[in-house]
Amino acid sequence: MSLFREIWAVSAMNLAALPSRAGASLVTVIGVATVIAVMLSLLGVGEGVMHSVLQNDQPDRAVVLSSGASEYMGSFSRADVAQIAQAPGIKRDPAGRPMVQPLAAVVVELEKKVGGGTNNVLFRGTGDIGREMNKSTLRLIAGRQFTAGLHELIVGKAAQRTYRNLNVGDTVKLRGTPWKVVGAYEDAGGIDENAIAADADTVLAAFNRTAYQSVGVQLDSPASFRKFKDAVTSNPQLQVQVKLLSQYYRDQLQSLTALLAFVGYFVGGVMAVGVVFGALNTMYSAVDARKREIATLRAIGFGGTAVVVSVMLESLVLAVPGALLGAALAWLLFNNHDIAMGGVSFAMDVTPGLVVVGLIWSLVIGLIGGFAPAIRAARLPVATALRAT
Amino acid sequence: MKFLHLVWAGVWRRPGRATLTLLSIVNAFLLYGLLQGFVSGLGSTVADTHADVLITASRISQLEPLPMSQLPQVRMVQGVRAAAPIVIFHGGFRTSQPINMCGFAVDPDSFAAANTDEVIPPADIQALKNKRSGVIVPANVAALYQLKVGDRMPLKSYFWTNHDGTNVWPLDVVAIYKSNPRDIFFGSSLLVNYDYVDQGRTQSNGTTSIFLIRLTDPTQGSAVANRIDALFANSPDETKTESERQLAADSIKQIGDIGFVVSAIVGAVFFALLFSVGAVMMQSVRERTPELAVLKTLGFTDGAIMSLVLAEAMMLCLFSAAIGLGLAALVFPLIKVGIGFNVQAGPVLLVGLVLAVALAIVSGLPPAVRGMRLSIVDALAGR
Repeated sequence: MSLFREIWAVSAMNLAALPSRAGASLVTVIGVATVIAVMLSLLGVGEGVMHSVLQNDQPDRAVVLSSGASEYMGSFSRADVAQIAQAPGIKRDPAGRPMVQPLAAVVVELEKKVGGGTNNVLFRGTGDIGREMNKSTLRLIAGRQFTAGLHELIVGKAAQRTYRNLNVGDTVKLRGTPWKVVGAYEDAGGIDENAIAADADTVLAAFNRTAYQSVGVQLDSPASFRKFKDAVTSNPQLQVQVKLLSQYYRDQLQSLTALLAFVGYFVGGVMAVGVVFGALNTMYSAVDARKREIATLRAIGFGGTAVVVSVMLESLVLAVPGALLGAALAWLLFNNHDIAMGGVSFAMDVTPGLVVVGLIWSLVIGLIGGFAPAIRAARLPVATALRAT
Repeated sequence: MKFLHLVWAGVWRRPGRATLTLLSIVNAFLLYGLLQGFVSGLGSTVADTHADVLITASRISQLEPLPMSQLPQVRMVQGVRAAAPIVIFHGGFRTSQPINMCGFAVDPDSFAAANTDEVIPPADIQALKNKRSGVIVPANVAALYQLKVGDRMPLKSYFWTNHDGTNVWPLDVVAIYKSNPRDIFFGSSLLVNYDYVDQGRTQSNGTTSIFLIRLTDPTQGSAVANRIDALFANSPDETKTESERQLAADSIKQIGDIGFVVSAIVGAVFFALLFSVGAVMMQSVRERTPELAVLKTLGFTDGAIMSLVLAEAMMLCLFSAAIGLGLAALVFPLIKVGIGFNVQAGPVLLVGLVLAVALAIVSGLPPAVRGMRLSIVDALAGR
């Protein structure tokens, strides 16, 4: 008899007997489901953060920052912007202008709708070239665009949901100046949906500033990045750093996502250890309950390998539905669930990739939980086991 | 009490299974202890703040500077004992090890006046005053980079560009002070001279990030805060003054609702554990049906059998929970050293034991009822 047929015969027999041990087997399924649900929910937060930032991962967008400064603290004069616009590799718009957008970024405080209190919100200043760059993702969902020179602003979908006085037609007071909300936008779930935006020069004037904080650049192709970066960073009149937009966001969030991943895997890991003990218990009693059957099989010529494989297989058969159940729970409860963190709200994201991670974990739990009992099953002394009651 | 031995023997009847069950309960309580300890530590960082400290920042955000011309006005406000301008000067050192360090640029004289509880020794502040490019380094940072007094420490500022066009600020270590992880502002921060930073930076000259204010009477905090903010209302630089305690509570709230997340995780863990312990207890009672029947034959009442099974569950859960919570308690001092949280061990452990009792009752009750309802004749006959 071939090994495969042996394994098939024993496994089929084991699995057919599963319903008779439903209670104990269910413990493993519930245990695995809980671990995977908790772990995927925690990891889903990190995925959501990443997704919201990298939703438009365009390899041809670059950002120029003052050296050593963040997006909020940079300082660019008009002359600096003109210097940057002369660098090679920049795309030109239909009118022939280089697609370089000086950007303003100020932090304003807005009143929350729920629970009172205020949060810091990014107030972006941009312009018509900037709008052209964002065209592929950013979309007005209500009202109209702001007009340069007037105190008009448009608000992100998430900001509108979170803060007071941001409905189209409302007037909101920022640093003593009233601004009219003329439109609302969505940005494919990106982090900018938490911001509000207006014309860059109008923002600077209203906040008594003379310099832009950063400069956005549309490259003519992703390959031009190196050329552009070298030209700008070697220009002695500029003290700047150049980054791909996506890389800039990644750097900003690196420590946060690393922390979230650590928490997810740490909690998941500790819980998984507990579930392994539970799975071992289940499989030991499963082997115990079938002592005589196993001994009979060994007596009529079935090999030890077939017995080992069949026990492991049973353990996996319990773990995998547990993982699927857990993943389904995490998905149903938390996919697209909005969570607020650091004043910014993200939609949690239980991705297929995470479900695969969950499945792999469940397989590992199943294998470890089945291994020792499987070895015991194969080593049962046939004569004693046959006599067992 | 005289049945203690019987109960203990019942727990360990199947040593392999008992050990595995014990380990899974230990594991759950260890996780509970760590997570809940972390939450209680977060709460205690708020409780550790100074009651008599107010922070005045720009109404717009803490990144927005305030003009130094406000300082004399703030000092005149009734109830203000001392006010010190502080410029945020966070940065990194030796970028191969990207460790984010908190730093503040202070004016030594006004800082000394506001340093009422002498977190920083006055002699160190005097040393800073004597050296324009000086920096006072907390002991933990000094140990990390093996710095000693007299060393040069080029700091890469996150915010400020030096007039040479780089963001590197050459600093000289003038003193090392004992760090205190419980003081969120000055427990482990670098301190440099305000003049050195302000005259060297290319923008925001003549401004400060915040004013640190010490009160004459800690109970008057909100009244003083209102007075300061009223002073600058409708000016181009409106202020927002909050107590240090309020700021600490807000910054924790900004991270998200950690308490809820932890309760949800702990809830899920115990939900799974309930089934696992319940199944083990049920199986153990089922296997011992004949033994329980013998006990009943010997005159044990139904109630006694029920208590016996419940006591077994209780012993298993409490014993394992004690080990798990004990292990967590061993880690608490590490949390304190690592992230400066002062864990409230007492309440965490007490609630843990209550959870263990609840776990024992809920998981032990069904098998206990089963044991109670055994009919002697059927049980002995193996039916």
